[in-house]
Amino acid sequence: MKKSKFFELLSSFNKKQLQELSKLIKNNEEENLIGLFNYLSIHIPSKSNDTVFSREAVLRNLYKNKLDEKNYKIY
Amino acid sequence: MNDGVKLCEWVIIKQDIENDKFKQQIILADYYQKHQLNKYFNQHINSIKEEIRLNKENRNTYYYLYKLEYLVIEQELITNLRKINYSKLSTYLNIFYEIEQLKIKCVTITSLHNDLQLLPLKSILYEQYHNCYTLLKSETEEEYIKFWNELVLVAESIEKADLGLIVNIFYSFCISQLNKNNIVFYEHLLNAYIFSLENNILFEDNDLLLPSHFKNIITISLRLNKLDYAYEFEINIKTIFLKITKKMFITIT
Repeated sequence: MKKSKFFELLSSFNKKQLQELSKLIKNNEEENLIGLFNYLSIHIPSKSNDTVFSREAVLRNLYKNKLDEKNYKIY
Repeated sequence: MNDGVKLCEWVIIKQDIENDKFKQQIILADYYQKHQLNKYFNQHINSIKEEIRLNKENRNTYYYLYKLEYLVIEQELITNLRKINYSKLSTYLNIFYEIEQLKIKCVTITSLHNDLQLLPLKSILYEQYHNCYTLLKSETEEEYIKFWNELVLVAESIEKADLGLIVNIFYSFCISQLNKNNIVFYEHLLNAYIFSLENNILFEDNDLLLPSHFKNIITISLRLNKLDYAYEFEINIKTIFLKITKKMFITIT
């Protein structure tokens, strides 16, 4: 995830830019994108450790609810 | 994720435009001109010039002054009025260009690799404007025919706005020659108009035709004894005009 363009652009954004992007993303109504943005916008500014940005961690957070409903487990 | 990247890029672009008030003003002036909001265009140009004058000089100052001057001249060409002194255009562009040239020279000297020297220009658009310039300086029919044929050959590769402007320069040249009683240019001017019609550059953005162009085409066709063409052209314009009126009526209702 850390190597993706979206992540790198988000990391370069200041507070004002993040607010602007947040409005655009919410208008976009793309559920996955909103989820991904919400997750990253919490962890990027707080400089969380690398594990929260791993592909697995991001996917687990994004699809947690849906997978739980179907009794799937992801590792 | 691609949508996310696009939105991020849009935020970056938007913020850049938001921070550059002159860029915003130029965009607005351009819009007023393209949509023939002449009153707002003139008001806007004057207020931007004043604002630029009151601000500190920066790397873009002369570029914006040049853009403004260019828009005003373009407006005069579109409305077929020539009032202002065009020399400021070259002054502003020259200052901007010289500053940029000096920057490039400085960068070239400080570069470890000697590969920043100017290369010969190979742009179609550059060649076309260069041809126009040579033509206006030389004022010969041979040059006109040569450059016109070159333009026709590359017309497909040039965007409409620039093609329109280049053809406008050719019209102006023909008209200036006709004013000097050089009547061979009737034929050339008519050909230029026919070319514009075929390439969809004679009509304005709102599909209307300037009365000056309409009158010129009819007058030249009559002077060249091309009565059929004049008649056919008038009928075509009437048909187009009726279609536009209908479309406007439907839009309004």
